[in-house]
Amino acid sequence: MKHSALLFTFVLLVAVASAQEGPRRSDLELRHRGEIERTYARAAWPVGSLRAGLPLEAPLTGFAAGPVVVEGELLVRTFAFAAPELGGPAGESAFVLESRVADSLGEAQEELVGWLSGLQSAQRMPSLGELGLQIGDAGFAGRSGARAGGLAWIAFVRGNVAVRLSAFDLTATPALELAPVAAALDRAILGTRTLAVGEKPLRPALARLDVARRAVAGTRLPLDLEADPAALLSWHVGASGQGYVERGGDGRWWLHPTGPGPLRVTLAAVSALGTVARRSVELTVDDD
Amino acid sequence: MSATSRSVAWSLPALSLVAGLGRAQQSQPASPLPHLVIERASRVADPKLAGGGAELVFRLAPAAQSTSARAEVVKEGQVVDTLWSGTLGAGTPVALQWDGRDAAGARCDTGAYWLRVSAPGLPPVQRPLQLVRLGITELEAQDGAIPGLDEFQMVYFMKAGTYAFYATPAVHEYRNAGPEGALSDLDQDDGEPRPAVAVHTGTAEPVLDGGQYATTAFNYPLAYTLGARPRLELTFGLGSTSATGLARDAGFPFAAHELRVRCDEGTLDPTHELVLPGGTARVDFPPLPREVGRHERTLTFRYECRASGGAWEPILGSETIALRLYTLLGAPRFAAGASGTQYVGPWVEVVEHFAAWKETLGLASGDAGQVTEVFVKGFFGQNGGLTRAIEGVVYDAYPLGGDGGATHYHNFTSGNMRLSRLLNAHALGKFVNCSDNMSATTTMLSMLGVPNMRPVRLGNMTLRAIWGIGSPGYTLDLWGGSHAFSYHHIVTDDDAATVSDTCMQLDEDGDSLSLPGTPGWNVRRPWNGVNSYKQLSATNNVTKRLESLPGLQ
Repeated sequence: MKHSALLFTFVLLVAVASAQEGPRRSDLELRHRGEIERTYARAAWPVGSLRAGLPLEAPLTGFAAGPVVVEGELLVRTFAFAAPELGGPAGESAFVLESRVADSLGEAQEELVGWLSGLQSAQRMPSLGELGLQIGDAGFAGRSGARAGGLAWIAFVRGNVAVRLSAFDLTATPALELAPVAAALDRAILGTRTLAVGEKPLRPALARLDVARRAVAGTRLPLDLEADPAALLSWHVGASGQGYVERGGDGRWWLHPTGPGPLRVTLAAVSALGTVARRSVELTVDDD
Repeated sequence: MSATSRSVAWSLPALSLVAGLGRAQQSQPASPLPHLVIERASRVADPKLAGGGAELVFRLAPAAQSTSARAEVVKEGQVVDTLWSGTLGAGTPVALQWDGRDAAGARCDTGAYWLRVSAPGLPPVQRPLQLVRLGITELEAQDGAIPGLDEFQMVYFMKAGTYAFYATPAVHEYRNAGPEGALSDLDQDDGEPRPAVAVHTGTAEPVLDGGQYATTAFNYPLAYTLGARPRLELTFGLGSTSATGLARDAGFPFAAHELRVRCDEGTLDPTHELVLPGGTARVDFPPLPREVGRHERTLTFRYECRASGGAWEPILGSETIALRLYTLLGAPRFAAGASGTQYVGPWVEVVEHFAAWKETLGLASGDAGQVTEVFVKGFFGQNGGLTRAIEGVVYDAYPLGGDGGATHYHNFTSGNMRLSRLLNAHALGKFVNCSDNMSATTTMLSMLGVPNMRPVRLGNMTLRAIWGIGSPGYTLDLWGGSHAFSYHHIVTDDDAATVSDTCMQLDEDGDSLSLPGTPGWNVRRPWNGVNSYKQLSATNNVTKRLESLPGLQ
């Protein structure tokens, strides 16, 4: 009995800890999300197959991709015009691509619900099907006031992959068409392997991240790292201490602590299919 | 008359030749023997300081006589430079300043020298001179003289065009030690003094060196709470470089003498004021203004020396270092957990935006209410000399070329604000909605030290006339045939007794259901009552709910 109670308490604590990992939503927000789910008939969204991901190198002809920014599970990239015939001068920002390769269909749908929940207008936005666009399992679009028939954004889920495309500024580049871009992304997702039921998308290998646990501000420390060599690496250095990570001329990664306090170094590795793996290491930095 | 001097002569004597010292002595047998007198001579000099050099003042005694004479700098018995030669008039002193260069014009090394004055038939006189190299290579801002945490490292959010957070290093915000491999930290490799580093005025990126963080030369802004008394720790340079490109020491310490530093704008800690190569000193400054904003300071440092037990004597010359300081209302505040991804300090671009708004609007910023007013009016723009909203953003609505009010900078899934993207010339697009504004406003005001900032989430709203950010004026048709919010986000710092809104203005003309409207700023506007936010914003009974501070990216 005593053991059972302890086990129950442990399970409860784990559950609470897990629940706290995501943002805590107020009753009003939860109610709003519920209304959005009803407005956009989430329960009726077609459910597709789990996919291996969305290739980072998806062919978006005529656009130049900016650096990948890792925001939690979301990858964010700005694309610029590379060919003026696509609607804007070369080098000018065209659109922003946000994507998430989730472990499950439900998580991807949650991302889409989040994007729809952020819409301030009380109007219901049209589905891609209503616009005659066969993109994703479920998707919606926002009309633009910049020109008749123009779309300001397209958001859709294809299996476990959520995608949102947002025009940078259609008033400056009114000829930009997002639908062909969204269709190309959808094809790229469909071109990846279909996962078996219960299988999760493969995250990049990130076997080891280590560093000395104590350091003095103003010095530099080698980072011990074993990661998929093909993965994109994104470093975050935070907490009340200070520091930064740079690659030295010797090709090694170095941590440069610059201020005293506890420091957490987090490495996000991004695979070619847009999945993300993370590791963190913590250390204490002493004043110089 | 002939008088030559390569160095600066402050005053030359009115020289008059007389028949001869011998005849003069014959006519005035009671006069003392003529002799040379050094009235003043620098004991220590650093000619590489601005206005620096060795001072030498001498004359011939007794009065009413004259002779040819010369003043020289001597090192180890060899004449390094002749400072002056000519006829020395009786009674009128010659004042010279040696610029530390030899006869060929090259800068001399640090070390021991003599300042010597000689004349035919008279015993020469000389004084020792120590040539040194003085200078500050690092400044570290510390908590002020008033107890409590009031100094904060500032943060940049980009590096070489990519998003990367970088806090100004706590070990020193100012560094001027020369590039990697430099012969010395105080001089350039040709022996010329290394100039002070100018303030880094960029607001997005730190100082970079070939895409990497610069580590040897930077001058970052400092952040203190308003009214704080800044304290700086100074680090002195280790050595110098000869004109021939050789590393040299600083020329001190030397026997039975000590040096100290002074600052025109501050007060040195008497227990921490002596100067040694590589050593440190500490200086306190008068209180900063009691307003949030930007403050430029130019610090002038001077040096003094004394023999053991003697009085302090000034060393000619000074060095100046320009600093930029920002003042905050209080300690920056961040959402719980936000510190896991970056250092929790004020962002340079945020405080710079605020400082620019305050300056343009001409408003006070001494308390939370005033700071909120400057922020709301500055963020919204289009008033008081501000021509546009922050970073040129526009409300996301059809009539303005946008759409149905999508969120671009506030991430609903993670609850984070992508502030770095907004501040990077609206890198995620020109259009913003209420959540973007709420998220930016709460995080930026919290970063400026305004306490208790929180988002307020409002339920659906049947709108009255509003003026959206970046739009030309009021509208009753926000969405092209529709004029309602499914929700709305605003901010508060008093649990929503009053609310502020950088996203839109309300219509205060007494009839907020018709156009045109009268601008009504939402700066701590009461939620309930006459002209309240609830009354002026919507015709329905809007619900509200406090939320947690967003995270930050």
